[in-house]
Amino acid sequence: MNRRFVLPCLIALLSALVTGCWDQVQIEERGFVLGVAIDVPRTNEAEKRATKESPGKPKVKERFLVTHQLVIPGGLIAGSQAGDGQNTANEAFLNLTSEGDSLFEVSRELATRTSRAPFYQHLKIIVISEDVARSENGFANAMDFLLRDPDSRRGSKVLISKGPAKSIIEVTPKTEKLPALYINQIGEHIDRNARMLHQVRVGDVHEELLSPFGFVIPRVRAEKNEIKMAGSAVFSNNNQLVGFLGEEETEGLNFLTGNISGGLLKAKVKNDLVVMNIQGTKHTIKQDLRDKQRFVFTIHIECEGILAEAYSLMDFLSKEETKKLERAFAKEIERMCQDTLQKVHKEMKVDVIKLGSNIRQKNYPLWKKIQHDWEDGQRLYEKSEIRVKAKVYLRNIGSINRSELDEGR
Amino acid sequence: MMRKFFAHRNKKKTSPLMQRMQQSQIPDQELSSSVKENLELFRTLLGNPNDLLIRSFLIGNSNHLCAVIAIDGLVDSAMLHTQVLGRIQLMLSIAEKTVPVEPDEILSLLFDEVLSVVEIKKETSLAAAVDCILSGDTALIVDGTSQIILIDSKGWKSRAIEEPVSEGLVRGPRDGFTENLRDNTVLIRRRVKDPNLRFESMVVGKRSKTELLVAYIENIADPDLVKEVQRRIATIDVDEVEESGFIEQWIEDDFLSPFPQSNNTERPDKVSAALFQGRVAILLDGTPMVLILPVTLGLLMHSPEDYYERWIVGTLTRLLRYLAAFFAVFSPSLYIALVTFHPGLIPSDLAFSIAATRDGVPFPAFVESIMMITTMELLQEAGLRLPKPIGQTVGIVGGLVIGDAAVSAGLVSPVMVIVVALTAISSFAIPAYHLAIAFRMIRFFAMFAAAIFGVYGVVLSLIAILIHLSNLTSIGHPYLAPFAPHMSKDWKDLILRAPVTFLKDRPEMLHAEDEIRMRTGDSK
Repeated sequence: MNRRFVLPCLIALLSALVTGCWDQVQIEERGFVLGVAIDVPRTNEAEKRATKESPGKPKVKERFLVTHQLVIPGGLIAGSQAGDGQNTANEAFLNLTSEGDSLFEVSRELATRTSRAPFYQHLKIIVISEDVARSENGFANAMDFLLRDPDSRRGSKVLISKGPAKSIIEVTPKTEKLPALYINQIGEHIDRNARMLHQVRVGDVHEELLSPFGFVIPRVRAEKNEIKMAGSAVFSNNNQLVGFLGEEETEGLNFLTGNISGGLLKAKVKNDLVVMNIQGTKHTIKQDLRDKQRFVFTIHIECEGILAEAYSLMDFLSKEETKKLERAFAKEIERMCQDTLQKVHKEMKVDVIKLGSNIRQKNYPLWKKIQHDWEDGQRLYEKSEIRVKAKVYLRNIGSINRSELDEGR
Repeated sequence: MMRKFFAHRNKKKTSPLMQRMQQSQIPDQELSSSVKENLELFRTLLGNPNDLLIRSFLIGNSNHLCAVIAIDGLVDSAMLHTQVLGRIQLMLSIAEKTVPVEPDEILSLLFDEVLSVVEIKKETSLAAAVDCILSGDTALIVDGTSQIILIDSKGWKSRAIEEPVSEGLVRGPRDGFTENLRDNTVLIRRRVKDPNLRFESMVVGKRSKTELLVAYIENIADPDLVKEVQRRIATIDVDEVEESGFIEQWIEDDFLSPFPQSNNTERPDKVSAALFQGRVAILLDGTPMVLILPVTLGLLMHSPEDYYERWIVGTLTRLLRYLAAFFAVFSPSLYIALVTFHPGLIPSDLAFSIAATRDGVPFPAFVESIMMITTMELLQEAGLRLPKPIGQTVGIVGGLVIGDAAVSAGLVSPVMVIVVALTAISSFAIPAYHLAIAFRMIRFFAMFAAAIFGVYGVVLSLIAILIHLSNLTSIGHPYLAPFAPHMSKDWKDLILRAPVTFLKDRPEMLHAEDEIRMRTGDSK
């Protein structure tokens, strides 16, 4: 054949074949990691063994006990013949726990234990235990690998577990085949319940780690067959866990930060309970920065919703009655917010309401001056006063006015 | 470089070819004045075939010898009896015309008065006479003169006008071209009553002498375009031309391209629409396939029905078709790329179920795809060759049995079967069959690229295809015309089909002499 013709063809073909295919892995050969749980090892046996093996290895402050949840795709298909081997229970997941100095080390160690090498692009949840988060720099260290690895996504949800993180992803839910997807799905229910914190993703965590403020991350607790995602973990501005907020306190925090997309509000009117379904909130922060030692913030919360349940017998169609009701709900919001403020402002002294960020947005020159005296130094945050004013609009009373007559009681 | 290489090879081949062609030429000699010699001349030249009709007779009182020569089957024998032989014998005897003695005068009498045929001519050249006889004329020879009369008596069996098989429509005319050139011109004439409609006659094929018509509308079509088409046809230098595909391949701009550079159709409505746009059509005797030139990718994606249905329907169907084109080319390659390189791009649940169904499949996704796509191509080819009832069976056997069996045997994954089905259906949704074939070829190229580089490769292959397409021309007109070079006016009738009242101009790319179709809007 003509050499002028063959040579370019050969060059094109070779350059394609030699440079291509390097990251080709068939989909069934990948170990999809759905969840990662990071704990502190309970014993230091493994550590001792490792030191004996190589005494000169670099020491770390804190070792990690990492549990990966891998999918067994064959187990997802009902009655399939795939995955017959050892998998008698027909489970769709596999939890692998390893200990190591770094997360990358653990990840690579897994390759020695499973036929399917870990693949992080479908990672849904990252659970970090309270102990890791409380240790110095533990949280940031645990997140570093997952932030740095180009293979992992910034959309995975981050949760802090009360108790061991491992037990969270080891629950066996009845509704889903994969625990990680079950937990992930619960995280989407933010519009159903205000006691749940808005989801914090890996990308958000990175932003918070770099920011000078404290932050919150959803708290999760495991029971035998289920988990409960309510409450929140509070981190100080040096990225260390300082404490937890309870469920109601989290709801208050959501009102304070304006992060409510749904939920309910209970109030007592005429000695009986009335429940409102929250449809939306609006929130504005008014600053009064005249006194440089004592800033005053007023948080205005406007909330609207529809009546969901009423045990109290009253005429909801009358304007005066509704006004009363709205005031009762507003009072309830203010109460919850005050409770939350008591804890985060007075006790923990962490600016999770992001008031500092609010100053930075609205009065940057001032912020430049005080930024080192906000949560630290002169502790201006602690000294400032925070007021809450709530207003509720009841838009709809539901399909009926009364469920029984007064005489019936 | 490639072009030079092939051109070199072509040059070498032409010289012996030319020699053979020259041998096939009929000796350019004058006819003899003797009937007997002339008959002998024709007999030897044609090899005395058994379908050669010769009838000798005497006319007039001077008993002049005459003869009629024709090819049996090519001529309308009823017409020959009543209008030629009958009239000559009856008229001359009953009307008691005095038959002149001079042979030339007899010939003139016959030509001017006796024969009641519209198309008739005198001829002295043997070559021309033979050509005419072979194309269905009847030759009348009179003893004593070297002039002969050629009577147009064409009348052979031809197929009736039927519905076009390859281009079915729900809404639209049902007539299609036939193998008979005259029928085809009639079908066009009936739609184009413009006096400027031109059928330029040409003859192609050194031996086959096939008649070819270049059709265009005089003051719409760009004269340069018509000239260029005629110039290219004039270069055709082959023995025989069976189908318009020969013409297409002779005159196309780039013979290495997988894309068709002319449109072929058996729908007269499509041809008339193209003529009115300022395009040129090439009709060839013996085939119902008419070529339309120049063509663009956009035009090949259009179907006449886009215009017959209301504009919303037409627009949506076109969008669907462009989507189908994308699927037809890229769905297997995207499958390969996503499954082997980027499972992170697939939604989690789908990724797991693909992984589950691929559990135990022994081949990588690329081999799996090549296997299935090749099988599909085989089925398509086999279905074409077989008679209709069996062809359908092949479709069912192939689609259901092989697909299902391959999945349960663990050779391929069910998702692959879906991908193949989607690809096949999409390629059938392309209105032009020859374009669909191009897409089928490109599909393999994209699959190779995907197997080597993943989605990056798919994008590279798309870029390569676009580079090629924007480089391609059809009779010198850019193939991607309204896209690149960008002609914003023509976009009204490209991916979208604007309401008919908006389509006021002819396509800009054709440089039509009369650019305006609709003058209603301009009058104010």
